[in-house]
Amino acid sequence: MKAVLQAQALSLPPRLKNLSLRLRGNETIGLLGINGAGKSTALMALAGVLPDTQGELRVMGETLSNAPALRRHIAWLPQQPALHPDLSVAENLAFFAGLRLMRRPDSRQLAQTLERFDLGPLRKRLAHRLSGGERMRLALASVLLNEPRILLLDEPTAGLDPLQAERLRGLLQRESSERAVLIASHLLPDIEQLCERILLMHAGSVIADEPMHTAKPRVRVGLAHPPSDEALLALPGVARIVSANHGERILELAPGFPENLAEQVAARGWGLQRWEPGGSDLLARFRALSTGESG
Amino acid sequence: MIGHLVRHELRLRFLTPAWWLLASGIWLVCAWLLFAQLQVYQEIQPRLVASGANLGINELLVAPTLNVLAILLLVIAPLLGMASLAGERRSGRLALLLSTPLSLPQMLLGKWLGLLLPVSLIAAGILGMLSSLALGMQLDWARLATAMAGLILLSALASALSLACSAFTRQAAAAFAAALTVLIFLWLADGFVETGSPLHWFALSPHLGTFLQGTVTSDGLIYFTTLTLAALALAMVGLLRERESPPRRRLRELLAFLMLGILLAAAANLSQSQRHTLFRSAPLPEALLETLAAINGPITVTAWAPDYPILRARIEKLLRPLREIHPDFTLRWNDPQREPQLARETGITHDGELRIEAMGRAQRVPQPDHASLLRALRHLARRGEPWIVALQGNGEAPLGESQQGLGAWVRSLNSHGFRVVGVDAAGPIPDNAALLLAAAPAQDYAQDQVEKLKAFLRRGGRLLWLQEAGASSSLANLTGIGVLPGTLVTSAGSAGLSPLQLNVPIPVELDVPESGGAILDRAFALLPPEDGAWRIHARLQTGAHAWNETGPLQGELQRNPLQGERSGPHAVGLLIENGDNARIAVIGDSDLARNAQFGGAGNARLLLSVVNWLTDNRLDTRTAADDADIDWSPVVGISLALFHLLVGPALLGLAGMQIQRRRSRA
Repeated sequence: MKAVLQAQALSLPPRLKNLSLRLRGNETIGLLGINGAGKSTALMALAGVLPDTQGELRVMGETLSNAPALRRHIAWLPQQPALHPDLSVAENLAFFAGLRLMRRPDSRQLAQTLERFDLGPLRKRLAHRLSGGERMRLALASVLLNEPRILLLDEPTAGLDPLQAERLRGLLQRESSERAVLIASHLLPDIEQLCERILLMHAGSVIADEPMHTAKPRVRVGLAHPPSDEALLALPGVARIVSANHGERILELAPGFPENLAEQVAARGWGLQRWEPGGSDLLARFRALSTGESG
Repeated sequence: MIGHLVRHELRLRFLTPAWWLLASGIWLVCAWLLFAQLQVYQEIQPRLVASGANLGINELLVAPTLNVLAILLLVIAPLLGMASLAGERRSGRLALLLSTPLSLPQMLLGKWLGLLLPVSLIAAGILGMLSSLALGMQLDWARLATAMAGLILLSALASALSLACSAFTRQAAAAFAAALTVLIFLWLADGFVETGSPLHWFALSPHLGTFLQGTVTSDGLIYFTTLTLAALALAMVGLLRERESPPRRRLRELLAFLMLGILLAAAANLSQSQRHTLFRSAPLPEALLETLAAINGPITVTAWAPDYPILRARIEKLLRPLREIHPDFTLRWNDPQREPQLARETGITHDGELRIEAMGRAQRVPQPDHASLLRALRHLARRGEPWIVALQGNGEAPLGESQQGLGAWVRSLNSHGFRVVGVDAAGPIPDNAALLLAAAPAQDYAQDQVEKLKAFLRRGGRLLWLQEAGASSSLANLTGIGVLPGTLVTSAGSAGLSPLQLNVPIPVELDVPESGGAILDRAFALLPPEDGAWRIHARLQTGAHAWNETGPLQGELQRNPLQGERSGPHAVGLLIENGDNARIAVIGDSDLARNAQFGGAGNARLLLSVVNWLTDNRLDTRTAADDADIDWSPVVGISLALFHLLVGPALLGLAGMQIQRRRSRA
């Protein structure tokens, strides 16, 4: 598939070094890195708001600096959405969306977008009175009203409570189906739940580029009568026991593990009390890669 | 797209209380100043009229308020504009704006208009407040309109400068301080930058001053347009750092600065070399215009006046035409009370004296009035005073102080910038004779004298002839104007007048401000010239009850048609002109100019206006300002004061707070 966003050797030393990437059609990529790794700088460079960046940036096949109108295809959302605190939700949406549409959005469009991002009841509320999640949804609505082809998100769930974060991830999952998305985050659940591919960043450079399916999923299991480790490892699809604590085990699963694995465990009479899929070996791999690179 | 941004900026201004509270405060300050001045004005108005200061409410109430408003605008624009770009940058919104397809010029224009409109609206509001004075005062609407244009241009410049300063920093306070500093520098530059220096062109107050005083000049328009464009270009340079890559940015910056330099140099040069007045709320005296046109190089006026607002306003008003017309005019104030030694050395004897320097010479103007100023300027221009040459030698009225003399009239003419000189009619006519006066010649002029006078008229000369019993042949020979036999009398005498005295209305063509008529005593009826070359400009006419009495002027007078006595109306004055630009005024009486009757009725006004017409001298002869009176009831005055000092500002402030309350409840 043709790349909608293509970066070639983007550099802004020391914050960004030689970043190259291709973002295709409906692809969602995660940009993973610790704080200060250069993720935000990378996103800003890709959004074209760091004019001192060297290298080439092409949007829909054209160089961005030669065709400023292409900016309407890029929706960039910084970590702290810079809304107008003294304007209402509807006013903020109308203004920022208008800038991307190059005209004032009509009321029908505004109403639909407010509903689409669950902001309808909040339309008259001033932006400074919104919660973090509401603010992020408003910012997202503002940049997505004109249906851009590319969405660049910087730590979208940072600072949100788990419920708000989960709600936003659901929203992003829905919106990412129609566009190419690049999510910069240091929060693994964001990456694991939303991304198909991950780029690991460290000290301004991309140190690894891997498809998400190579990450091994994990499941937390609570058992009233835990069997031996051998019995657990004998189950189809169980690759490794990551930890054991009384009746609780964290199992690392091999790619392609059976969908009815939980039913198989329950059928063994080990007193299955909990089955919580979540997490992967991403953190371990990230830690290893980062340490290796730095060390 | 610009409209979208402008609407957004306006929403930000008007949906938050800051603008409302600021507008309310400005209204209160200006209203307080206005009504404080009004109180003083009402106290001094009778003395002003008595002193003939020719100052009214437009000069003493409206002008100072506009000046204060202009200074307030220099603060308001940076205050409202300081966060326009700096605040956006600090909050992170600027990067967000730059990530959209919005171009830099679009962003800049949107921000600028979004700032200019609220600032201009405050100025318009204050002008609205001043307009309400029309309920009882005679406002100069044209001057208010030019003032509004000037204040909008000032707002445009101040807004653009505020944006430019805001474009280079993240600190709104720094942007405010920088913009205010630049604006104050421009405002004060007139005081400390030497007039001849190229930097003086940047001085703001002289350019704005012409607008506030009712005149639009090309120079002023070029100044504001150029500096506004320059400030916007500077703001653009500040924003280029945010979006353009370094090589492209450097090229554009270089181009921008190059264009900026060329634009400023060209504008300064153009506005000084090609200075045109595009609109003027009040016409300028032709004589002054002609005199000023003959003065090359700078004109410097030193006004010796203590810091009395009325005296200084009077001098300012007197010198305004010079400031407007002459490209290189400087006014310096010296306070004789602070510098008595210098005043003595300079020969200054009283307050309000002016010293004019031009073309390497200097002249004193003892009184700050038009006539004295014009006389001094004419001396400086080496054009000499316009002489009124009174022909002598044929029994004309003497110029002295006897009852039959013309002394009072001569003094009056001198005070209006003329110089009356007696010249023997047999001799040559002086080159600088603006007007020949034949005041009641008793004998006809010799033929060669008549030919000399005819030659003078053919050169576009001017002649004032006061007819008495003699020399009617010369008059007919020169002008074609005949004289009916007999003396004009009337049966419709008015209070205190004998049948020999005619009250003649002054013709409207002479444009004399005050109404009324002149009193002619034993006048002669004139017959218009039959020669078609002469066109009658105006005529003084008797009423229908007058006739030319040919009999003795005693006992009961009655018209006798059989003796050729014709009933009125009769012409007792004819003002005629021809294609050679010659002008002649003939009045069938000389008594109105003689000491015995010169001060009576409208005689002085009639004679002065006739002389003004003959000499193309349009000096304002009024002695009191048209706009001096205040004509409103106490109720209207108190209502206006209450509204502007209390109700209006309070309503604005409450509106701002109500908006804030309603929105924060949502």
